[in-house]
Amino acid sequence: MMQVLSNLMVGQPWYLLWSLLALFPLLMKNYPAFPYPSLARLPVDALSIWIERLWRLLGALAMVCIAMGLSGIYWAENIVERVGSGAHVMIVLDRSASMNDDFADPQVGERESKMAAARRVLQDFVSQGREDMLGMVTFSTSPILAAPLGGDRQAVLAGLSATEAGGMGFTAVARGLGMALDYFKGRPVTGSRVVLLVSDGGAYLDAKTQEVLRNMFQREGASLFWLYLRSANGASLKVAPAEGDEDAYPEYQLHRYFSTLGTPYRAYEADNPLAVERALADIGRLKNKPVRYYQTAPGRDLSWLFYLLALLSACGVLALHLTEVKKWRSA
Amino acid sequence: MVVDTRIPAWDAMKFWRHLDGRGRLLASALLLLFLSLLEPRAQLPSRVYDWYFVIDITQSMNVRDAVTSGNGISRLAFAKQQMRQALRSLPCGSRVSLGLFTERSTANILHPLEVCAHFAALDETIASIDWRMAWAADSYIANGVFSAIDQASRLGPEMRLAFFTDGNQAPEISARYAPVFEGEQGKVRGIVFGLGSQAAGRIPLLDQNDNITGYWGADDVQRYATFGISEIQSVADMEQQQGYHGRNAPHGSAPKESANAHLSALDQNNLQKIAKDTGLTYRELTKDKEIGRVVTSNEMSVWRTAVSDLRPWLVLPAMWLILIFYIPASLHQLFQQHLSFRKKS
Repeated sequence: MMQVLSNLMVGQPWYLLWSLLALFPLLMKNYPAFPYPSLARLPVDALSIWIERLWRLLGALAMVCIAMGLSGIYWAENIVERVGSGAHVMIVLDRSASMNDDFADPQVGERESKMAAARRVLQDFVSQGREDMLGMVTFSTSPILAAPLGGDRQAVLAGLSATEAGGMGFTAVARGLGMALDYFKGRPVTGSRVVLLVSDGGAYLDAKTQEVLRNMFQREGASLFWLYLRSANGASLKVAPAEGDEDAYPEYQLHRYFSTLGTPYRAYEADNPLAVERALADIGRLKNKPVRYYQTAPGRDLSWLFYLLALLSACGVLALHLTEVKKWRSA
Repeated sequence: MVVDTRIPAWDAMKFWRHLDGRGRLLASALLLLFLSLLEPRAQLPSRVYDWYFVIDITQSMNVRDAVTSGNGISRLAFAKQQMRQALRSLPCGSRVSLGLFTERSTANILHPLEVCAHFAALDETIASIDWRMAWAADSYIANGVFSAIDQASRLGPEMRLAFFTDGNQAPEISARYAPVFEGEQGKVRGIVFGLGSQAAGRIPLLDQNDNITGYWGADDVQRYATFGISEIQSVADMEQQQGYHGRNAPHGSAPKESANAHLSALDQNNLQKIAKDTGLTYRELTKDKEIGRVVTSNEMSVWRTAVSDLRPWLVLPAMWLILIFYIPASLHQLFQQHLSFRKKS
């Protein structure tokens, strides 16, 4: 019981002081007096006395209810059901310090950091009016959830704008991917699951991490799309490095590892706008069923209930008021 | 004259005429209450709040001394709980931005979002905050507050800062190299919320599942504030200091050692000083204090047009009407006599 009641919250408790006014109808002598010499001669009418008590009580109730409604009582634990369709896309955005370096193929001006390029590309993607469910994780040394998986695109955009502060720390691709995959865990598979990695990929994964990540991808059945942001002097993923030089190209090694994941994997080089459009089109082609999911919502307002009660009580008062004897009829 | 009595408005008019003065008061109150059930809303200038919530995710926040309901929970968990409660108490039209503090700086992770439309995203993001999100491990709290203030002013002109921390400074800092606030004092308003117990607690070491596997010991942490050059000026002083070497040991071979650098308590003095320097307000955050009331206080509010609830404007008059209805008839008569007297004269 206490557990249930603890969800009842009061927005502005001091408004409850208004309910003191309810004492007024309870205590006041407030019916018209008639210029009749001796009412005392009349027999005591029990019904009238009870009607009067009810009348006072209803008035007081109406005022208390209004005061309670004004105080903004709400139900704190509120979960709403939403329906989403389209693919479930977790964006995994690299926020490491290396993303501050120059992008190989800038769209605007002469220089553009990889971070700015990624932001531009993703803002286009998120702003498109498709029905995909989106979420975003940013990562550097450690992953940070920026927006949970859902239909709230503004939240993803707000997370993207926040990356304007610049990158920090190292590139822990594995942990970022792991956090994104965690978001699929335990949810029914009703749509294609996509992890959209946006990174310059300057990271090595050790054998154990590779294995763990591969297992996670297979268990969640998520495909991996990699929007690769090439550094100004970086290598393309399409060109295999010379024999013996592989260690010098971590991004190529990552690319090769991703193709062994066992789930669909595609890499796109974000060097031209077409690549980005192609990635988006590929996501759009994925087959999906509508999915029900639950979201927390701000407290459910309960004041209407009190206003309704006040209305009903006041109706009662009016009805009783109409029964009141207004004029003394001499028989 | 033939009148169609089925017209409800006509019925209502007849009913109205039939009523006496007090009945009309009550009928008006009923009408107002009925209108309020339609939940009228309008874009009106109203009090809203822009908050930049920054939470300290350094390891001292894992100390489980923020007591709520008998069970010790960590300062971080308590701070998150309070932030979510604050989120619920903000009126629609308010905006909230989120940031994380560790090492020397605050990282903004979410630009301002309107609280009602984006409640789920904000709430879930706060809930997901974890000490493992820290990208580096020091805790230069003053730098963190300064950088948060700097960011707050860039996030919005009326952005208020709410900084949730225990004030723990690690490693020890030499007073000589303590950071100085260079911004304009009081330009960004806000509150530094202090969390945790004032009695020092041990900082836990946590495993993958957040089980405590041990505690930071005195030997695991830096106990000397010997960064940089010492303050000793005179040659006499230098000679007196044991093992002094101008380049290799500027603080001597036995510098002042802090005995409890591995413990952490709510450092109120530190936070009060930071708050004073920057023009913020310091507040200790405990379970009994309503955070909702603090973050919706008038001095932190901004006037902006927002969707506002019109119901109070309807039900308050309704309440007064009901009150007048119950005023004794003798008073009514007095009132009427007074009015008619004035009419005559």
